[in-house]
Amino acid sequence: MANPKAGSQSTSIAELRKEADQLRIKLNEDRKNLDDAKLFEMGAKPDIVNYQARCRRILKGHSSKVLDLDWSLDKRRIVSSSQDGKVLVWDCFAASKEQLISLPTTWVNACAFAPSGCSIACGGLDNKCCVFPVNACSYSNSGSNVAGSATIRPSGAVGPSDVCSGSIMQQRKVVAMHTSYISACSFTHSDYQILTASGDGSCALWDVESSQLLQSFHGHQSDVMDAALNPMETGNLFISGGCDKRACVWDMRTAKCVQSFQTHKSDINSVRWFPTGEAFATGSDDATIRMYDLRADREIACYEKKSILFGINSVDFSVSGRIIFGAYNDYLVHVWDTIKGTKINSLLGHENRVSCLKMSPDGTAFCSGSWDTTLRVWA
Amino acid sequence: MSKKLSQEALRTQWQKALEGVLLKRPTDLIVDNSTFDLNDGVIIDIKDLEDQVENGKADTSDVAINLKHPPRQSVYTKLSALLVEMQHETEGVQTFRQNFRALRDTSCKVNCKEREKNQKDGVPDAFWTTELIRWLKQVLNIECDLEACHLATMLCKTGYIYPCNVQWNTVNFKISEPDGNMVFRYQTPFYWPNESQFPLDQDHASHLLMREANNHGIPMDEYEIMCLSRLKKVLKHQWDCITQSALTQTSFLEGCCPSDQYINAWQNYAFWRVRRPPAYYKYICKAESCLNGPNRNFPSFTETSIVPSAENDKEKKTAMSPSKILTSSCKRIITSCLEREEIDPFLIKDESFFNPWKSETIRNAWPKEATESTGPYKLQCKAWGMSFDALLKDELGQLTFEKHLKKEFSEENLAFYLDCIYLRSAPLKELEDLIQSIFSEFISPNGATPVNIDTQTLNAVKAEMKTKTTRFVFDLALEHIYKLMKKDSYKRFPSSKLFKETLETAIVPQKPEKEKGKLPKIWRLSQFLTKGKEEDPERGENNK
Repeated sequence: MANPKAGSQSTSIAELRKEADQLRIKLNEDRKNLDDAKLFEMGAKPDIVNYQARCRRILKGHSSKVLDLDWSLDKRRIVSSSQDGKVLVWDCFAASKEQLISLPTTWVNACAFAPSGCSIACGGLDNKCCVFPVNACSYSNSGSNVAGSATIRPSGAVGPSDVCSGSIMQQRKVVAMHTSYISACSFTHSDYQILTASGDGSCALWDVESSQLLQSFHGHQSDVMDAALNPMETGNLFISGGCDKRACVWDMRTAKCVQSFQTHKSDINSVRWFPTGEAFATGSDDATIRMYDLRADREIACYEKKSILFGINSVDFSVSGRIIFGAYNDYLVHVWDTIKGTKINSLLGHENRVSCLKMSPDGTAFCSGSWDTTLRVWA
Repeated sequence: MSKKLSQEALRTQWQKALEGVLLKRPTDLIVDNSTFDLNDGVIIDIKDLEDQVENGKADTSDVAINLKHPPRQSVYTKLSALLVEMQHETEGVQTFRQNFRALRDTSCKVNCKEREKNQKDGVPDAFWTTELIRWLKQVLNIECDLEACHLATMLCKTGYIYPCNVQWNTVNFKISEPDGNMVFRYQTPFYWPNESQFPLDQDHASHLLMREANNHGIPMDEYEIMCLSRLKKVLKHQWDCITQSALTQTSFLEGCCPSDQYINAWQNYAFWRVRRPPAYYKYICKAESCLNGPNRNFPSFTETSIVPSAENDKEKKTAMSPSKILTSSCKRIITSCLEREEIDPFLIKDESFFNPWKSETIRNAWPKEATESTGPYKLQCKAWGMSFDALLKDELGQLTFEKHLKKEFSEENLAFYLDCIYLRSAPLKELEDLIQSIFSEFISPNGATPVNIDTQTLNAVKAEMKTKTTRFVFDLALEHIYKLMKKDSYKRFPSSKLFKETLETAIVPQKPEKEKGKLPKIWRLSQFLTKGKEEDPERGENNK
């Protein structure tokens, strides 16, 4: 289709793009015609959820916008990162700070706690994801293998025995290197692997010890904003959502995108699995949360309201999956009923955008971080 | 009187737009792609503005071009559309002409409303808070007052409307009740939030200088004074230019009528309230610091509207019957939600369950870790009964399941499963050894504890091992064993004696007894540890 005239070539591309958009819309319309809001119809029978939450703790300590947070598996500690380059480890229950790490870069977009609770990973505008040891680390959470011949032992550079009074920057391990900012990072089911999502449009799986790239996943047409690993241990899948409005499901074995969904009208900021691992929810800048099912291969629910205009930065499910929490740009946390599609509640407390939201591992509380520099724990 | 009217008529609609009053209302909240014609009235054409410029229908110097939709923040489209809706003559927010002198004197509110009918020089197109809230509730179907108030506050904080003659800032400003006496105006579209335009420090400086000279009844606050002194240092070499431009602007405004002066002052004030760096932003006084994070590479934003046509209707009828897959998916989700409500701490109906976060004292409130000796917690145990994956993920669950399997003489299945799972996330350098050890122990028929897999799977695994040794080498066998355990051993597990006993004796987190004596509560303690006031989330004004 080589066209000598550049002008007509660009118009033909624009026309083709328009046609592709129209086709996509028609496809979605047809899909919709077959099954209109089925989930909410079927969900009309069960009782209405009565859920009230109050802010139980306010964690103040950051001097700039809080960008990301993660819970430790001991259900008590949180790591949070902020715009000024500081990463803080909190004991949430006692509302005290345990450790402070100062990074030379600003805008630390992503942070994660290792399953053992012995290290944290963080990354941001420096295009790198680094792993740091945590001061207070107890081995009770390391989950020793029960009846197998292999035991999980922390081998390598990151271990509590290496922690000394020296500079924390000397103990850091640079694991991931991307060509653009890191938007999300998380450990896979152990301390030795990290999954990162980056602004260069790719996700990657890294080995912590050797800092080697194990697998990279290309397919998004623009920045990837979030990635989440399937909660089922046998699941080899993970999902990612990006600025190209697509949510993709990847197989880690083959590094291929096995399913992709595009019904959002704007960037997807956050993706989270449903607790059983068979569906997932995405939150986007177009002010809607949408739920997609893997087996049905389509969007099965859309949570939106006419009066909610602001985009969503983060979503999470409660333990049962009955409740969805959304962290919105209008400073509120909106609480939705998953199967009825109605808004249960709105939690007011933050004084600026709520940038991140995460449920604790046992589901007794959730924490939200905001651009007003505080973190709030709600229960 | 008649002279005034004709002057009004002569005022071009363009000027009205500059003052923040737009005339033409689109048919729907989503602006349709109709022709952009200056003679009809100024509308916000959000889509395809580039096309308009190309086709010569709109002038590049148009103010409207500045409204070019910033692709990332689609919220601005919606807010702009909402604003246009609000400004409709009959169905929008009811406005009136506000006597600006009366605004200064807050005591005569009642008289103002009467006087406004006969105003000659007053500030046009102002509206009360009550009117705004009423309209929002009606148009957006909001039931709750607070919600509408919050939305109105957000409209103000993002810079679409502003309160007249009130000293406010984006941190503390709040429309807390619908009956407030504040008066608002629309911000001029030129100043609407726009991500492609960055307000410059020089503009900020000249604005502050003008405010210093004449603040139109709103005194400068501490932060503005600090900003000004900072900017003086930073922009030392340009200061003469800035002062000159400030003087020119002031002298120009002096020629305008008083209401225009006030409007201009309020507009600029509102614009800079929204754009200036927040007070806690300590290091630089940059107006650009309204950075929203790293620049995103987005594809060009095209919002094509869904046009329902007659053809689609026909296709509906001939379409297939509703897919059964979807129904089964929905059913699955609903049943799992309802089943799992039992183990969800937010929805649990059991009165005896105690959520440690809800306690008011922290000492002894945190439940101890469940170890082998203490046994699992009740919720934990219930979760094992519901989901095989929950059982396998949990340490105690693994132990319990192992005991169960021992009775069935198939505990090597669990051991194999756990090792394979570990292999998946093992460090790279351990890979070789692990694969060998797993193979020799579980797969190889000469091994110590071979798992029960059929020959087909066995041969497939062996073949895999020869070609490439990756961490997914044993996946076929793993899937086989997993399904075996799930359908066989796990099926008998919840009804087994072992599980039932464990569930019976499972511990429940206890609510700590009220402490006697004066022990410092967490909120008091924290006040000693940190500087400044620590806001206590639980003790509001009512809990005393």
